[in-house]
Amino acid sequence: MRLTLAALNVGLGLVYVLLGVIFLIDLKRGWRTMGYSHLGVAMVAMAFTCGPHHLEHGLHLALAGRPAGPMEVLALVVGLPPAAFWAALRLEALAGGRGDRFVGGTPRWLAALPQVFASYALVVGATLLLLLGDGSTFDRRLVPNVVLIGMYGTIASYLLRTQRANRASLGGWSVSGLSLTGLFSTCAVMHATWLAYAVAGTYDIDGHGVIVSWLSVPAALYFLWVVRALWLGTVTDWNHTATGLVHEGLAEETDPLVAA
Amino acid sequence: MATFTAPTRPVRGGTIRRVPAAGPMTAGPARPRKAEPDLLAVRAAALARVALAIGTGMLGSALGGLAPRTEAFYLLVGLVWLPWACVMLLANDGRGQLAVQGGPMSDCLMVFAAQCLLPTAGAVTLLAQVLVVCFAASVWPARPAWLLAVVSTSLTLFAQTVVPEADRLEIPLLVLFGVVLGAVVVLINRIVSRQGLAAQSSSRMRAKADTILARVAEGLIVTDSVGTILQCNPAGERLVGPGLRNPVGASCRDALGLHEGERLLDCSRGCPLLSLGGEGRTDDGREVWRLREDGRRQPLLASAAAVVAEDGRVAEVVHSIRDITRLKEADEAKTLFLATASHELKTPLTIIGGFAEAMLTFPDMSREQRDEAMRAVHRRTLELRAIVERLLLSSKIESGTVDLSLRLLDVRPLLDERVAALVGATGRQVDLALAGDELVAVADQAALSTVVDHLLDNAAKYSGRGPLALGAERDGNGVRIWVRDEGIGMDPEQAAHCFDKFWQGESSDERRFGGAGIGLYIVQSLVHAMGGAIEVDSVVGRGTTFTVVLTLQLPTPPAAADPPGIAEASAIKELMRQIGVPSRSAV
Repeated sequence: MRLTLAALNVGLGLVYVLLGVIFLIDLKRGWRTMGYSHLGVAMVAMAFTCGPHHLEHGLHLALAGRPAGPMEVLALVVGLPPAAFWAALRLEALAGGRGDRFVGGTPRWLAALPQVFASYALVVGATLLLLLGDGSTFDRRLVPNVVLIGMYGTIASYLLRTQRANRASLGGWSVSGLSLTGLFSTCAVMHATWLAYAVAGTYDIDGHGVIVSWLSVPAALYFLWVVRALWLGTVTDWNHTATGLVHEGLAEETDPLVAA
Repeated sequence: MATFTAPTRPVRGGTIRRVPAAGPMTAGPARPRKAEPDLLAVRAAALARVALAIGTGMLGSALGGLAPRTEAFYLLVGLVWLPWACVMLLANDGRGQLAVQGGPMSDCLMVFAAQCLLPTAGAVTLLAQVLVVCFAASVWPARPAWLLAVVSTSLTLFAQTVVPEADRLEIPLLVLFGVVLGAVVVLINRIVSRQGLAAQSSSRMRAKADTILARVAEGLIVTDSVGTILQCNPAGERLVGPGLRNPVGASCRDALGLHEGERLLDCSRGCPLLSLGGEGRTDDGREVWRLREDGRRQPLLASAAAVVAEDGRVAEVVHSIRDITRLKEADEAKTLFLATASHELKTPLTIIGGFAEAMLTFPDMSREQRDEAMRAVHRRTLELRAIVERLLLSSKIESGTVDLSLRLLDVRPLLDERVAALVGATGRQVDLALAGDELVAVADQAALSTVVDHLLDNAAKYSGRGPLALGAERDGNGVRIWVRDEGIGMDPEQAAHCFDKFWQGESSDERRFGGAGIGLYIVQSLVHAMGGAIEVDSVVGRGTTFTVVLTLQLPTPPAAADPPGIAEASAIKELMRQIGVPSRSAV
């Protein structure tokens, strides 16, 4: 199980780094004509912090003999499909393909997904709580993990919101958008499981992991800021076109921070 | 300091009066009011707060063997202050008050936590409190800033009671801290209020002036006393024309070249528009003209006002120039229309009146003679109705109220019917050449009938008894319809203007053919409205061919956004679309 988890982590880490390279190439290509892209840079930052994060986990599992908790394996297995879908679509787009699929309407399996995910998160949460016994201690080096759980969850909720707005106007769902939403949700759960094992004392906290986690915090914050600012229209990016086409979305009325 | 001395002049039944500038002078008793908070500063502070929180958190992770209080401080930073700082950073985008007010408040509490948990950092925390209050005073109104200063002082004093006695700060230092805090609030509030007021007034005035200058239809050109252009609004730039992209710095004479009559106005010794008077001058300005790039005269209405310096000399001259080409054209068109319409209406009315008078004068005329007279009256009445209908249609086209029902239409039966109608009405022979079984194009049936009727009437009118031909054939893009006569034809100059409204090939005093001069204008307008094109090919003395090309494509609505699943060329743009980021205008 430990080696399987290590292999999955290394694979995932390499895919993220590859995606980072793809976005970096695209960023360089479009820079001259469209200027700086916040989303592009944020994606690159995410890919180059998430990728090393998983690589670091994988290498510690494989080489340093770190144990693999079953809940972490479960979290990774659940997180793999959206990550794989999204990465495959990005690779398809890189090869000149469509890079997305459209799901018309809201089929039953899709309508059931939120409930399924909520149940999964509840079960994982409850199981993790059972892990925490008397010997559990919260080390201050785990702070970035807590922050990342909150950020990934917030990013996922923003993405879900934009997906819902997209569905309202297009009458269906973008598989790529949905898988990215799922990716962030499952990442939050993965971090939560790792955190629980670390608090329970099952996992040791290693210095490399702490550094990569701290580096992930500004990257995730930047990504969250970009997604939100793009949605609100407070930042100029490559979505600014000369066509004058303006998509009316949820925008200000539904943003709690704006309302505040 | 220059004074603006625009003369008071009557305009549309009223007068332009000098209105005092908005701002401090018109705001009544001057009461400094704080402007909107500097959002850039709030954003910078939010970024700095996040960076500091992350840095402190990282430092906490790196340090080992910490005392329980210090450990608690770092946990507080990582688990409370950092998330809160992130929220502040995000809230800043929404332009809400949360970022403006929440940031300094949280900072003050965080410094208080440091004062309690990191007693060795005592003096540094005092400095931090001063910085926090400074920032709050610069973005908050005076009262909340004062309140924060008081809270900050109280918390600092309270912190001294919970730290070990050895780590407590000296009382003189605390007193100095309180004094500095109060002084900082007073000074910053005053500076910010003054600056805010000045900036507010200045930006309001500037925005108002910019809007007026940009939106006003008249060209406004400011020159110095010897005619060098200093400033020019967009309408002025348009007047100067594309030949001179940036007129600033050019001389008024070169850029505008205004003429009064046949005399070129020379600005080198003062603006002649300021001194022009007498005949031709109106209260709204003076009629002048300039030579356009195409060599035609552009009529303008120009006026000038001097900006007089304190020593009484003219410092600058503000020119107001209005292009009156359209007004002139409209005036000429109106004159032409009145002349043409009255001439066209007069002929049948004279005949109708003559026959009516004859029937009244000779009540005993024979039945045949009376019937002949009645037929003549009826014919002329129909002519009158046709003239009035054309004028009405022309008016509808002009106002854009012609409704067309565009659809794919087989024009073959329509052309058959219109030719048959002409043959029936005039007895003229028309050669009809329709190639192909189905001649389908996008058209409106009634509009196309009008087009064909007008072209056939025109051909019949200008060809005497000569042969007429109408043909249609498939074209790559739809259907090509042509109407040919072997009449008097037109020279290239006449052909170039034949679609102009009220235009006639012959001058009014030698007109042989009559007509209001709006038939071809109507034809061209309707063809364009159907998405088609019309062209004319004519040779004097050999006849004219009008060709109408109608397309097969219905006018398409504006392109909608791409549906998902069609990849953008850029992975980043594609990702934006997929995650539902709205496309926005580049304006």
